[in-house]
Amino acid sequence: MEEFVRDISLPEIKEKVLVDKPVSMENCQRLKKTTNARICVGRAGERFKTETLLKFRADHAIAMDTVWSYVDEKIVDRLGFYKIQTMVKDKEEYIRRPDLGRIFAPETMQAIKKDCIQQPDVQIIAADGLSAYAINANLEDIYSIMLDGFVEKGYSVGTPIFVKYSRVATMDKISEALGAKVTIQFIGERPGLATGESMSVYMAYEASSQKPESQRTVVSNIYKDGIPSVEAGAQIVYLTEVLMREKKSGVELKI
Amino acid sequence: MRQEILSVGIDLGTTTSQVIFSRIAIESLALTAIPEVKITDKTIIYRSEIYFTPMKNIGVIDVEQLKQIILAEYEMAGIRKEDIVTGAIIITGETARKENAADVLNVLSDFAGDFVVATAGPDLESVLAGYGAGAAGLSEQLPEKIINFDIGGGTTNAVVFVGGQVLDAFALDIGGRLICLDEQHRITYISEKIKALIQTLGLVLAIGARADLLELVKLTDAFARMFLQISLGEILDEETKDLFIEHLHQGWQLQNLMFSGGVAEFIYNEHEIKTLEDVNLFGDIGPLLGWSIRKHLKNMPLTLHVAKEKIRATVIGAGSYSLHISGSTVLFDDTIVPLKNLPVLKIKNIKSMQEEIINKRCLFPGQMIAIAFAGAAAPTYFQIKEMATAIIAGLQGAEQPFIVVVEHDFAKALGQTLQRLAGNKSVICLDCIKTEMGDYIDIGKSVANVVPVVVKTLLFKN
Repeated sequence: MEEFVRDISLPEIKEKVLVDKPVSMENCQRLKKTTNARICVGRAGERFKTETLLKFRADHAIAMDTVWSYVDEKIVDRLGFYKIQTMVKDKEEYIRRPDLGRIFAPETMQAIKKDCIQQPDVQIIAADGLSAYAINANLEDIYSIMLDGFVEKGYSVGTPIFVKYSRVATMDKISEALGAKVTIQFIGERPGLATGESMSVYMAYEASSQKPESQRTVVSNIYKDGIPSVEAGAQIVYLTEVLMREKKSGVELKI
Repeated sequence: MRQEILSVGIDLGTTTSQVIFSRIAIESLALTAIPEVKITDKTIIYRSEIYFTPMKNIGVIDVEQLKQIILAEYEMAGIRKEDIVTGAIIITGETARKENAADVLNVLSDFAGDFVVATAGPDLESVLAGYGAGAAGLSEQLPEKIINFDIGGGTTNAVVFVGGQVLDAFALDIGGRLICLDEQHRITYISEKIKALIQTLGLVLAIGARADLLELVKLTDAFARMFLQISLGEILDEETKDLFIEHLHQGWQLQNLMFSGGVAEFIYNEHEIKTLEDVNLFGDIGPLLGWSIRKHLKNMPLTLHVAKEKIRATVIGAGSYSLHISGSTVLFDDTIVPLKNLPVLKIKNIKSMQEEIINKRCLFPGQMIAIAFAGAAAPTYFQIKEMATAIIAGLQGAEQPFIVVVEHDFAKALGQTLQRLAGNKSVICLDCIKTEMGDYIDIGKSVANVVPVVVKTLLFKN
């Protein structure tokens, strides 16, 4: 029979109590359920046990992969997103030059203006950010529930746009180009050691590069063990109504 | 953002009745646009006197006198009925089995405040007493399980906690007032529940006769041994089994125990008993039962923890711990609440939700029902639409709003989808609430974007 190496990235490894002879196994398990931190893992002398160390490295590897991977364009194509790219040429430049990840070439700006719906009530943007996996894992569910919600509320929804090599501030440029009332951007969060699939949603009323960062309302931690994408989507539909009604967003808005 | 709500607890026991008012703080921590809402503080602001439960005669509670007592307490506390946001009236022990108990609850719950729930049921009572006594809180710090026995006049309510969670809850026909004495120490009452036990033990105890201290001690010692058997996880005698109400316990071996209820006062104090005068302080055998338990606990491999509240444990549990709050992303409709006593239709398998709703709906003819299920931790939008479609189809023809209660965090998504697909019918969809088939729920008005919910198991089954 063929032997396989165990997959150390499996979640059950994370749930395992590695303390030798714990006073109460039940309590260790209960404690572990309350946090993603690596507790109740025991030790070998003064250091981690091999299993803990390997798991740590595996999680770190996921974080590295996340940053260096690409959004599955089949997903954005299927959902009908219009695809553009910032001034950044490749991943390395994306990491080194955050400033270029916030702006577009003049041709790109013109193309947006020419090809996309003008003056929508709601403009939706998907951005890769620091985690392509976050978009792959969450985009379809969150976008679909929001779209149905906006249509039902009678809002006009702009052409959905996917931005490659994007930082958060691209939403201001797109909002300015199209004259959107509420702009909503999905973006992959900087990965941690707990997950590489966490996504944030930034939203702003009349988003503008002239306004401070505090113009944005944010929902973060969207992934399967955080806030489920459908639930975040439902909350954003609700928040959009608030933004439209109050005509403001971010810290100015008391929710 | 911090909001405070006033809560009332009313406990109508076999022997005594009391009222407390507490202030519950609900805090909303909004780091992002999805706030984290928690109950952060519970402060008891008023404790009533402890009254003898007014009875017209054996078996009938005096509703009028009870109303007067409670009205006077509201006045003394300076609290108006309109200010009460939530709370619970709990009718406990043997009182719950009185003829007019259901009427009493109905009358009092309207009288005490809009969203004050009437509740009874030995298991729920056990859990509330355990919270009120402080056993639940203490269990979070203990490495092992802890049991709390709340010994009242007619019944004992027991709950096992581990790490703040309920592991088991049950009740027994053991109490301080199963035998009553007059001033001449003559026996005036022996509860039906223990007549078989008295016979098995061969005790000479008869109504009208002067009580014999040694005979009484034999009885209370037998009760004390039962508490030990249960705590130590030993095999139970037949006599002990007979005293369980509705169902047996799960049989854990325990190291930590706590006592609350009126009898507990005599477990923790040093009151010595040498004569019938020492026993007959309240016209019953409560002090003797406490003394017997205290005596039997010596040299046992059990750690006795002091309860934070003894005689008031149940009322505090009812007033401060009966309330749950929903998750913070939900769909509510404050125009149709408070909703009281909605029977829970619990779905076993969400794949066959529509059929289950149709099949079980007829169990609650003419009643507004709440559909409940656990659901997946992170459902897809496709799954959400499937759930909504099944609920709408299952409830077709029912003249009621959609009321759905789920465990995992997706109520806003499901609620919005329901609203969309059902054409803007009224919807309440709440999450982070666990229920079982047979439970009833009450739903209150939203506070800081969360919805107060009370989940209860009623004793009064038809």
